[in-house]
Amino acid sequence: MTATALLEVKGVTGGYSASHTVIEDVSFQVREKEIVALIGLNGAGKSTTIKHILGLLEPREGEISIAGRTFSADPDTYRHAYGYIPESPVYYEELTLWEHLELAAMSHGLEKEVFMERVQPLLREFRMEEARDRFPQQFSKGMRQKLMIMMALMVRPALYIVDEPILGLDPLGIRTLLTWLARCKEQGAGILMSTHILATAEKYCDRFIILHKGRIKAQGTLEELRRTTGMPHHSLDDIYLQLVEEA
Amino acid sequence: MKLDVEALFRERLHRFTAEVVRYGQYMANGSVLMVAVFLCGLLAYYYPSLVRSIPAGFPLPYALAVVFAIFVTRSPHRTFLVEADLLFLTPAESGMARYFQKTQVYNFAVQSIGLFLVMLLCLPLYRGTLAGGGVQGWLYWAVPFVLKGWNVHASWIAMRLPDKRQRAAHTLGRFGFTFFLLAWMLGEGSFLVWRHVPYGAVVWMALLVWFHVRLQRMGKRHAYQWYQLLEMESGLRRRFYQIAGQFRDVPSLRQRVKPRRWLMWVARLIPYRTANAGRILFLTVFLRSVDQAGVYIRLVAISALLILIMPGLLAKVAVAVLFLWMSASQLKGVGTETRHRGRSSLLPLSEQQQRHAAMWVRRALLLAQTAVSVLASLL
Repeated sequence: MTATALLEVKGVTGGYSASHTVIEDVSFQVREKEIVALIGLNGAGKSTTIKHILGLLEPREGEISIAGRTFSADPDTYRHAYGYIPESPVYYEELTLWEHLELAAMSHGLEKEVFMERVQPLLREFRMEEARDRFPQQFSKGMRQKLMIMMALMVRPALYIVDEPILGLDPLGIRTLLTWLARCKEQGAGILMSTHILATAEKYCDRFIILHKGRIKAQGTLEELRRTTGMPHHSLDDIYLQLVEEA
Repeated sequence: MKLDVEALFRERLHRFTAEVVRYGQYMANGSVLMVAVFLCGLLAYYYPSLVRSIPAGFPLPYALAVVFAIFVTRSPHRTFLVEADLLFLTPAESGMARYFQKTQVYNFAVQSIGLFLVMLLCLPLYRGTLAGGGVQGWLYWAVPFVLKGWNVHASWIAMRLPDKRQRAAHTLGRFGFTFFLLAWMLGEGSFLVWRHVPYGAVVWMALLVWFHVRLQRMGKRHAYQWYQLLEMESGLRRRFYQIAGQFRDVPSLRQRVKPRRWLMWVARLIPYRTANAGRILFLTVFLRSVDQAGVYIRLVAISALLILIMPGLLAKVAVAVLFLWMSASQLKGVGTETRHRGRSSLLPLSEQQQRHAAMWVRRALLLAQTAVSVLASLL
């Protein structure tokens, strides 16, 4: 039995303006209990794809649905259906770390008891307990990134969309994030993760979508990619470079 | 290629002047200006009786000297530097002397306008109680400006001191020096005179020599403190935007934030509930913002004070309504700052929820002010 598709991207073409197409005919799925890597060079269209999924850009053609619902049908429920970890942290200068977490829990409809129960392990494992009453303005980039991650992880959505999570994090932070994501996956979540770091992707992700110049070059598990490229013993890195260079 | 500092200064000054003109237009149109004119009129009405009520034994010359000395000594330096200059202008450091000469002239001119207004305001006091004719009158108008020029020059050199405490001590020294001369001048040479020896003048001469030696040494020993210059520039620029922000939304006005832990209990009064997330967000943001909450708290305090001292119920009600109106127009900004700048995607709050929450916070704050006003009128 195949797991149900949490995220369904069907034939999406789009970009920032009508005259300039960034992604073309992009189709893929993210199912329950899997981590899918979105891989591509700078400017390949990873962030544009993610913005379309978030409902921040409107596809010119094609359709995107999360758990069967589209953005245009019901924007509010759609936005509640995923947790997003952005590449560049956004935050309120006026709120402390703790207040960010509390407001995230509150606005997502978590009970206070649930919030209290979930927040402590997060603070502990990301080693942010001492920063709980401090302001993100005083944080390093990695700490701000952790704030974004903790806000998403606390809500425990069915689908995570993670944009370049590893840049700026220290090695311990990377390990904690990946362990958490693996645990979320075990509990049934689907995760879409855009990244440049192929070694990490190879280790943690179940399937790979290789995006090049706005089009999907190849997708599948590592085994499937090896078969289609005829490189049976090669790493993801080699396969990726081969695919991109021949293009 | 040699850096044309003259052109650079002209360009920077031109850009700032254009901004002043633009915001000046908004200020001239704004209703806050009406209130300011009204308050000035009130002051002008009461001023003569205030002058008459000064007791005969009051050391007016020295009090005036303190006031003038504050305005003469306070010499902040606008340099029109921007952050990128740390990268691009620091290699041309030695060539910048000419540029900074021009900024000093600019600062002297602008600060002299303020000083002139203060002196004009104090003129009736001076005329009413002191002699103030002939040569003395000329001195009244000349000496403070000469001292101002010296203060701008000396404080500019002192900006090279890397230690903030050293700079503060230097400022205090300049204040003493300035005060001595002003007190001597306004007291018509009678300041610190004992057995016909003008000790005030002697101390002043000694200070002048000391300052001269110190400044010479400072200029040689330390280089420009670029970060401090930039910090001062952005502080002064922000102040300008803050004033302009009272009349109009200023896009470049980045909100400053204070932790204000003593005030946060107010936000915690709102219970934890999904429907309250937007309210808690906007109230917390408001309470921590230096500008918005700062102005609001001041308005509430001033109105309470005026209501306390105003005679008659009608006057009290008029003040309360006037200040409520001022607060209401000031609180229009609640929420807008938070909703913009790409942060709205951080929490899943719909546009409508956010608008309602901002409205709720505005109403709560106006209600609180009304409560304070009623309480003040009952006292």
